[in-house]
Amino acid sequence: MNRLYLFFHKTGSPPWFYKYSGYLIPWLWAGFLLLTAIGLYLGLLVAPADYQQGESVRIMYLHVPAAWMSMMIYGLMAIWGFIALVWRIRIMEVLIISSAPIGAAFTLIALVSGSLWGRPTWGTYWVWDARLTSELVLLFLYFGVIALYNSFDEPRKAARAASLLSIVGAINLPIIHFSVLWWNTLHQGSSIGTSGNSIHPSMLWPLLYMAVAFKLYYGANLLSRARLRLLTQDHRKRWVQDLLTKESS
Amino acid sequence: MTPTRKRRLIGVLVIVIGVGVAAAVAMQALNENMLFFVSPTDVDEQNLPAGKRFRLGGLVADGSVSRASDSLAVQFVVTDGLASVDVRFDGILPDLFREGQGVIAIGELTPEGRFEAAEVLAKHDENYMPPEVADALEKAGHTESEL
Amino acid sequence: MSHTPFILGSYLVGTVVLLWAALAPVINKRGLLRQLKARQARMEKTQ
Repeated sequence: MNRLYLFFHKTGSPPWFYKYSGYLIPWLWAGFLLLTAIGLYLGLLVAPADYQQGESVRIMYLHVPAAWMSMMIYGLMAIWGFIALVWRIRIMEVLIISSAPIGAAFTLIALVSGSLWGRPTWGTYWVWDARLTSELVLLFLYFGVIALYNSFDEPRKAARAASLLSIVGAINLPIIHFSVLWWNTLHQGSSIGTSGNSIHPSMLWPLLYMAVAFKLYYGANLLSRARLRLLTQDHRKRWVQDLLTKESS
Repeated sequence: MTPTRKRRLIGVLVIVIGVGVAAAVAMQALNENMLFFVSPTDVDEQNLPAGKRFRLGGLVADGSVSRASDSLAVQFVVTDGLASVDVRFDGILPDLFREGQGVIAIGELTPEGRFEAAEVLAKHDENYMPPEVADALEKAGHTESEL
Repeated sequence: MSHTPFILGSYLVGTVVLLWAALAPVINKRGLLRQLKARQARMEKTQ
């Protein structure tokens, strides 16, 4: 416990975090670009059209990874929110509020691409079924976390309020995931799961490349947002002043 | 763990559990209204009144689709294996509409018990495969879900 | 119905949103650093 606590404290120290995340970011961006290039090539050019949906199946390679990210990021925010509330580690607070805009971006992409897939496939852009409605609620939860955070002047207090909303809002995640099982929805069930896949390998691979690429994107974007926030919050502190002097000399 | 941290931990846990229970209760109450569509069996059992708008969901029965030669009007049977409902629709059907396909029709029952659809949506399933694979599966006598 | 506009539209929206989300911190950081450096220079002058 003690050693774990020390580790948290060290990685949680802003100068340490700022320095080492700076080394990591270029590699994450490079990995993202490489995997996205492979994923798009496979998904848009190599993968076959679907036996029912035709070419519109290609929207899935954007839609499904974005939808996964929208849920994963909120889940992480809830976990970090829990740690931030109990142990008051500042870097966790910074990670939560830096995650929210990225999560909102992926949710928006999932909603728009899903809508553009729904028109040719289902025959409608939007229906108020449980899956689509709960995903829209997720977008509003992200907006809520950002708005709540911005309504406080003091960053630590703001972060505590945002953490609480992240934890409470996480109840929506199982609702989104299981909505297609619990209720009659227009949205189909999961194609990929522990009980086997109902998706052909030629279509599964581009999907997986895009899914990993999006995770790297999130890592890179999260770290650069967190670094900016640390600089802003600590701009009067010694380590930022030292950093500026070093950079300008 | 220090007493302060323990207090905070308990506080957060109480809130999480509280909200969880509240959400579960709310969902239970909403469950009735959250059904996106009703099946033909539900239609038979519930004696839905004519003129009330609802969504009917099921499979298009094989060999039941008949199109008018001079208009867009189309008639078909929606079934869930146990019961079935005659549906009439006048409009453009989605690409995926075909016999055996899951559909959701939005409309109302006429006094004669026929369903007048104002809109028809195709329900997609969770199977994704190239056309050649689908053909091969069909030839081998497998169903799509066995992939 | 041709699916091309729907596919292109999806990927266009995806690109714009991801690009915006990625560039926002870069642009903001540039502004912040400029501001902080100006302040540091001002403080050195007064000392």
